[in-house]
Amino acid sequence: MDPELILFAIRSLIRLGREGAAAIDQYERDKAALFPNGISAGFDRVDFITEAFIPDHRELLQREPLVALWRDNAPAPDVPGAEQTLFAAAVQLKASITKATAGSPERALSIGGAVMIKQWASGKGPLSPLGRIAITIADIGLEFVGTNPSVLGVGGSGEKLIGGLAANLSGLIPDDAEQFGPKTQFAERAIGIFLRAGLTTVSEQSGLLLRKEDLQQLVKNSLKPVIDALPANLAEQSRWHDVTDALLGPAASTALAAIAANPRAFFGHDFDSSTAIGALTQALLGEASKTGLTNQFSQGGFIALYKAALGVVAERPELFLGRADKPAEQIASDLLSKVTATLKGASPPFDSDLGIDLAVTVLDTLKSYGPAFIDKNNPWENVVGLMVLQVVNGLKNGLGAGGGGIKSLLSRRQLTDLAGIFLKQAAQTPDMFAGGNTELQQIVQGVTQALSHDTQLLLTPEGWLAVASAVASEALANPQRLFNSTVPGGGIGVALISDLLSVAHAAGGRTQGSVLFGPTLQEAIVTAVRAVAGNIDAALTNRAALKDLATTLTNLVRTNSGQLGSKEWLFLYRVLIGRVLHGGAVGALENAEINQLLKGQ
Amino acid sequence: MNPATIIYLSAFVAVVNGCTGVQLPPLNKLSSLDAQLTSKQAELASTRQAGSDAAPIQQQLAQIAIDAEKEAPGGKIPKDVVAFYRVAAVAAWQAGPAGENLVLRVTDAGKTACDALPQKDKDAPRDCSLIRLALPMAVQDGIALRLADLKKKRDDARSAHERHCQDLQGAEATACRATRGKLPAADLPAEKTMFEDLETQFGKASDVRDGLRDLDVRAEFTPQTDAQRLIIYCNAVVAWRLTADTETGDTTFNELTPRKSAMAQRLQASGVAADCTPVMSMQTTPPM
Repeated sequence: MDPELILFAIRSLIRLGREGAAAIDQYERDKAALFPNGISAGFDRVDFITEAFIPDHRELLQREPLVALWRDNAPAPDVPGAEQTLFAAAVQLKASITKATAGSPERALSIGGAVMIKQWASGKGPLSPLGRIAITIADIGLEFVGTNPSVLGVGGSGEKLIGGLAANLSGLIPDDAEQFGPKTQFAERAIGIFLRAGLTTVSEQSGLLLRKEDLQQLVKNSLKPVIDALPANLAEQSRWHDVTDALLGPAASTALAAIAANPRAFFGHDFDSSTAIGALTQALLGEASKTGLTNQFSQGGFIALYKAALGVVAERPELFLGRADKPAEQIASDLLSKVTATLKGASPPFDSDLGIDLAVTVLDTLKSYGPAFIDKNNPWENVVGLMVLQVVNGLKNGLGAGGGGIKSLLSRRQLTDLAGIFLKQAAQTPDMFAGGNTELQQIVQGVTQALSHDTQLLLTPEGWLAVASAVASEALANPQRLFNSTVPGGGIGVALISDLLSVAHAAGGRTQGSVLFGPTLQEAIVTAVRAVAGNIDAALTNRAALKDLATTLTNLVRTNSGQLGSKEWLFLYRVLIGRVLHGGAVGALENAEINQLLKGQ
Repeated sequence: MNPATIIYLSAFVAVVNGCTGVQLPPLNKLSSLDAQLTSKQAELASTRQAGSDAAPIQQQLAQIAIDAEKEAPGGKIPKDVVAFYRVAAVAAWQAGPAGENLVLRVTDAGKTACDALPQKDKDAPRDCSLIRLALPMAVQDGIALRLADLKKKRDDARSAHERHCQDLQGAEATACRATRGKLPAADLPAEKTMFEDLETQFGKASDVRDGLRDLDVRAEFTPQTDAQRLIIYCNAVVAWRLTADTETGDTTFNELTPRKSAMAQRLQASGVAADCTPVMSMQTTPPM
């Protein structure tokens, strides 16, 4: 990243923040304030009469019919009803004056309670807070020109991005804009984050080709739902702000990069996939808001999940859109919430980003191979988490309580790769999860169980991953044969691998002249599993003979180290394993027979 | 993630969480004081309506005025300073007797702050107008209370006179009933002063009103200002009227009559009918 860009981002943030604060201050200054009324001294009817007649209409008091009623500048106290009559006359007089001045601008006032009045006349005064924010956004764009002139050049992606934002600005303004309420403040922040992330992305990836109308659509469909979804409750609003600050920028960058990589996937077909981007973004923030940003998964974890789901949107929009039973928002929300809920309940270390990595693997596979592995009656968004859980449970059960062995054998990355191997293969297997099938868990458990027997690290982690891949492939191609957690020991697959490990262990490794370790052992396991996968009964019958074969070959190669090595061991094992499966133990092998076999006779 | 990205994100998070602080903005001081003012004002109105003692609330309003006055010099920009003085001025006005020692000080400071704005009152039309109105209104409110006292005293004098008449017989009683009880002549100078003071406050409020023509205030601000002028005018009428209800007050009454008319004309000149009907229907004086 260009260091100038870093400085630009910081300056922009500070200025947006400062402008936002200034806008809030302006709002506070200018919002409606109290204009109270003064106190009346108790203006009464006699005051009214006196004010009405004196001095301009004093003559009316000096002639009939009022003359007897007014004395010494007051209603005559000894004339019953004098005050009432004079008051009625005064009211009449005022009414006639009002009538006479009807054409003049003079008007009668009405006095209510105190009133709340804003600072400025409607349409006057300084620019509204939102207007100021719009100008600041433009200002940030201008500053960006200084550091990245090409991005904001005519027709540049940056220009299109700002254009897309500007075209939607009025639509993005929440309904509390007049009060500069929480939604408006949030919109201002979200727009700023989106713009910065967008400009940074298009700057970093100069080859991005983005169409203005696509960006307009993206802003409309992705930013507005996020702004509209700001909760009403203050505590929830605070969480929403936090996750938006942390995730909206990276999410926007991810979305832009995904769109640029494949614009046709998101726009210009029957499905408007940018709607799904909005749904996903909203779901991402909602889920992160619920889970918290540090409690369970990292920001990177959330974004990885978002990116993977975005990949599904791009390749398979029909999974999100156009479903009669659920809108895209619900599917996105269900997907992320079910995955995270499942992972939260998973065994450590899969209850963290490691689990997210597995979910990402499933989504990536789903993107590539489609949902054929999923039961048609079970919505796919519900199954992703369950798949991960089967693998996690398989690993846990295979390793026994604690799973300490595997953690010392495999790094975190390798553990994920191991799980990913199973998931990738399972997701390519039609109807793998139909009817609540838990075969995947049994396979994972079996392989892991066998792997845990490698206490002397006879295979490298990479070797075990290769074994897992081959074994998983055979196991998935031959359902219910190699691994079965309901039988003692976990099935013939586990037994075979364990037996080979046992022989290798007994042979003492390379220091004792044995070749059964590393790649040879790896190949032996794969060979054995492939050989028995289609002939389980024979394998069960001849299990001991199979183990003897491995022992015999190991000893043979050791004692004939001048003529025989790992290649020969493997060759003989491949040739003889079929014989053992069909005819039982091979017994002692004579040199002549060995030579014949090696010559292919 | 490359180092530059890490630096960028770190800076991003630091700035977002720290420097700018625009997440959920806390209620700022101005907003808080304004809210307190509005709330106490509502409390004051309902207390007065219930006929209860408003003094405790007015003490609180005075405190709001003191707090706002204290905050004012710390305003981030000159308009903030004015806004704080507006809160202080209105609170001091509404504090009544509790704000007597404050109102002159805060309105003076407020006017100075308004004059210091680049375009003076035009930069904060409502706030500056309210600051300029607060002092005349506070003075008129004080006079209104004293007038209300005098009116009560006059009513008492009338009642006493009527009771006295009832004790008399024949022609003496008839003659007595033909007259009415009045305030003592000793009250006349005070009545006259009160009228003149109200006349002065009316003039000041009218000057503010005239100045509104050059300011971009909201439409409802002008009639509300006119309502205050009408209240002052009507209170002046009460003071004027009281001189007629005071021994030897006729001369003063006649002397003040053209001045009362001049006030009415100034009202009419700005398009307001000199008609106290709406004031008569207002709740009268607050309890003392």
